Amino acid sequence: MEMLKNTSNNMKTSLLAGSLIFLVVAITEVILGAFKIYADSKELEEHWVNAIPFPPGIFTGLAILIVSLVWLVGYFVIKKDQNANGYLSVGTILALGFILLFILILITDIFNAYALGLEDYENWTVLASLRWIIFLSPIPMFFTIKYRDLIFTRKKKTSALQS
Amino acid sequence: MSVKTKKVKEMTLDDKRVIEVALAGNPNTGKSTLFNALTGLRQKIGNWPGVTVEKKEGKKRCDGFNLIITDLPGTYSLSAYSLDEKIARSFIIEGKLDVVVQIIDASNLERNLYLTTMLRELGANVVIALNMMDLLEESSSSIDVNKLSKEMGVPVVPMIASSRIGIDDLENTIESIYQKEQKPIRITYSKEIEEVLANVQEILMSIPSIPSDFDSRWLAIQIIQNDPEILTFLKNWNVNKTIIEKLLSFGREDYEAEIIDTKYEFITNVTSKALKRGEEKLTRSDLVDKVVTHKWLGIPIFLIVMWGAFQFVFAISVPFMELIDMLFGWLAGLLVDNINIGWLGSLLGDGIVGGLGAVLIFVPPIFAMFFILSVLEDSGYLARAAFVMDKIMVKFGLHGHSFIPMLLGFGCNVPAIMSTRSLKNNKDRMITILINPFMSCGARMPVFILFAGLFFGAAAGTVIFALYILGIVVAIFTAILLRKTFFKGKSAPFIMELPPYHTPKLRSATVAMWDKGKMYLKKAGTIILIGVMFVWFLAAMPFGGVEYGGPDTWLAAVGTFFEPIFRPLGFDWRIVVALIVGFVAKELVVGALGTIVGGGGSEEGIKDAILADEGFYPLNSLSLMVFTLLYVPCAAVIGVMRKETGSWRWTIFAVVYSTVIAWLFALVVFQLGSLMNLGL
Ligand SMILES: Nc1nc2c(ncn2[C@@H]2O[C@H](COP(=O)(O)OP(=O)(O)O)[C@@H](O)[C@H]2O)c(=O)[nH]1
Ligand SMILES: [Mg+2]
Repeated sequence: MEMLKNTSNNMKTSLLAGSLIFLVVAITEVILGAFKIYADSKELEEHWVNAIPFPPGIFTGLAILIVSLVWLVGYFVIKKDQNANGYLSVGTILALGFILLFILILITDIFNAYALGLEDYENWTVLASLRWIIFLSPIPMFFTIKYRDLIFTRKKKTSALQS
Repeated sequence: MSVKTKKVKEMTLDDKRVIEVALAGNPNTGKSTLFNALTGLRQKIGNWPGVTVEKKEGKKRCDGFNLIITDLPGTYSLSAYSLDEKIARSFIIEGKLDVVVQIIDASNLERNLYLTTMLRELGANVVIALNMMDLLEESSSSIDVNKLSKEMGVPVVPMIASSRIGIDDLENTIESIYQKEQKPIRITYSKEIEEVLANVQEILMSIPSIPSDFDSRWLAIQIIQNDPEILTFLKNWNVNKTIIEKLLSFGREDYEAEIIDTKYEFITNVTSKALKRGEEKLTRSDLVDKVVTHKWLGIPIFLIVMWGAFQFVFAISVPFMELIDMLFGWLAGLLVDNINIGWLGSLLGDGIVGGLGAVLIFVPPIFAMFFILSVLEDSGYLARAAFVMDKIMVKFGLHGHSFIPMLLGFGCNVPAIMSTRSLKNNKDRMITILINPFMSCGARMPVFILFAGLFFGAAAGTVIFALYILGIVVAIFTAILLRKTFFKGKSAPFIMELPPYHTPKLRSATVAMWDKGKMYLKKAGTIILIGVMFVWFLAAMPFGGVEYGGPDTWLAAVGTFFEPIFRPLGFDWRIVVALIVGFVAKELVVGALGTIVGGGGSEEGIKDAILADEGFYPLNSLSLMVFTLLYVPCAAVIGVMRKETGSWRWTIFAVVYSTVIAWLFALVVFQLGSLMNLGL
């Protein structure tokens, strides 16, 4: 019993911390992204937002925001003494999926920029694509290692829902 | 009832008795698994409800007797509302069956027993195969097999079909009961209903032409519930018209609900005796389901998954597209350098290589799209997405099952429209068919990728995503409109079996991608090639003296004729021509543009030509994309709509309606954009 309590406390802290870190990343991207759109639409080339070495992505920010929300809801579910494994798993799998996606994008970007030498990539830097992977990796990795059995056990079970 | 007349059949495979058996049961309970275990055949075992749509037959030799086994489609009940239920029911009624084996998912006893009550009311000789005992055990519940058997009045054989446990027991039980008469269970309904039933039965008894194997109580129960198939039965038995009318007048809508309720009361009583529930232990899949179908999180999760899918499609295909492009550029250069006959060089260079290259370049994104959709389907997530969407769909007068056809529409609208056959209610089905073309199919992707890529740079993925959303919004809007006008009424309730989660397999996704993508390649080799050559022909006519694709050609004449209608949308005659040939197939839009603007057969060339051309700019390319999204996808869709709706009127309605809607939306985009002066 004591041990169970500990695990759940542990997970509670993990979920909250993970959620808040992702929240900060997400909100920063969304706000910067909004400024960028504003600056672009008014053609303000001198705007400070253009000094950032990579273009902020408003949609990627929103995607990260949703992962953060999944964990946050999970945190509140644990607080009510209910099982939050699903929230942990879904959030982590979504984040891992996005990391895979960004790794793929990084590879194709490098290929496009150096092997094909496409024009669109003149101002592109590796950092623009790499930063997502840097931002996104640590927490889901940590969760994956720490809660591997919760996230990746496989069991056959059909379930039904009815509306 | 034929199932009750037990003639011992002596004509046999090898002089042994033949016992005819049908496997019935809810979807996803393991019917096909059991069928395969019994017969040694390889029926497809699907991870999606509704995989077995037709019935399949197999044989099995046992000690002293032979089994002929039929695998029926999975059904929750035996009413005659959907095609699969009708197939299952008429087979049980008409087939000369000896035994009906009902497979029951032991971990879902209550819902499964509903079908049992119907089978028993029908008078079928039932054996319950209590499958998935392993899952029951896992949930630490238990079922008292003897009590269950006593309460339902049928033998019960516990089993784990996937591990072939309990198969021999089942065979022996089938043999032991097939000549025994089972007493049909009698669920007693309310006093009022019982009185009506008695009246109806009395009339039925006086009709001599009803075959003796039809149970009159069962017939009476169906009649008072307004069963749609009963009329056909009565007509086939040449029952007098006035008697039919009298019988049908007993039907009342609220009887059906009451009868269902009473059946569930009966079942609850049975399970309270036979089922001991363990403490609710949630499986991993339940826990995940809770999140992905969460009240607030479900839809945002669905949206980011789809957004991620589009990012994937875009990222993976760009380098491949560039490579294909280089190849075609090189090919076109080769042709131009080596062919000196003027018109032939033009046909090959401008027409075929130009047009075809413009189409083939989109093979990578289309394949990537099919790939990611099949990964999502394989994982089991798409079924959850359908469930999440159902709640919204119902609000819009749609049905949860409409979601799967809509989703398939992102691949191709033709199979998507055919898949609406699983909808029970005809009104639901008509609405689902009519809105399907607004789901943006793969063939529209080329237009989006070309123009979004050209004019919206880094935001291209987002623009395309927004277009898909627009398609969904227009579909929903149309559904509400249709529900409020032509197809009034409520939709049928939504029950959906959720398949288990799997780690998606690279192999099966690749196979699915190739299977579906192949169609696009085939189309490129046939109809698109012909279309492109036709456009080249019109663009080169009249012969001699005219500039290819210029304003004096026949092509220009056609385009100019229609141009006034489209000028408010920002289209010149060339776009108009491309859109007109797009009625045949959407791939032709880019193909035709490739032929018209020229560009030496390479995507880069077409891009440069379009960029250098004053007739194309961000705002009209946006309205062009919107128009392409919303008007009729292709000739094949028109054909399949006609077939599935069974009506030219509705097909023509769909064509006209979608074209008008496309025009209106493109108009709003273009005019609003010009007004706001976004600098596009
Ligand atoms: N755990 C478990 N899974 C089973 C059992 N029988 C079948 N399955 C699985 O249940 C799923 C549905 O089986 P299928 O035969 O296609 O069901 P059908 O739709 O009724 O024909 C498949 O994934 C099977 O492998 C069983 O006894 N135990
Ligand atoms: Mg099956």
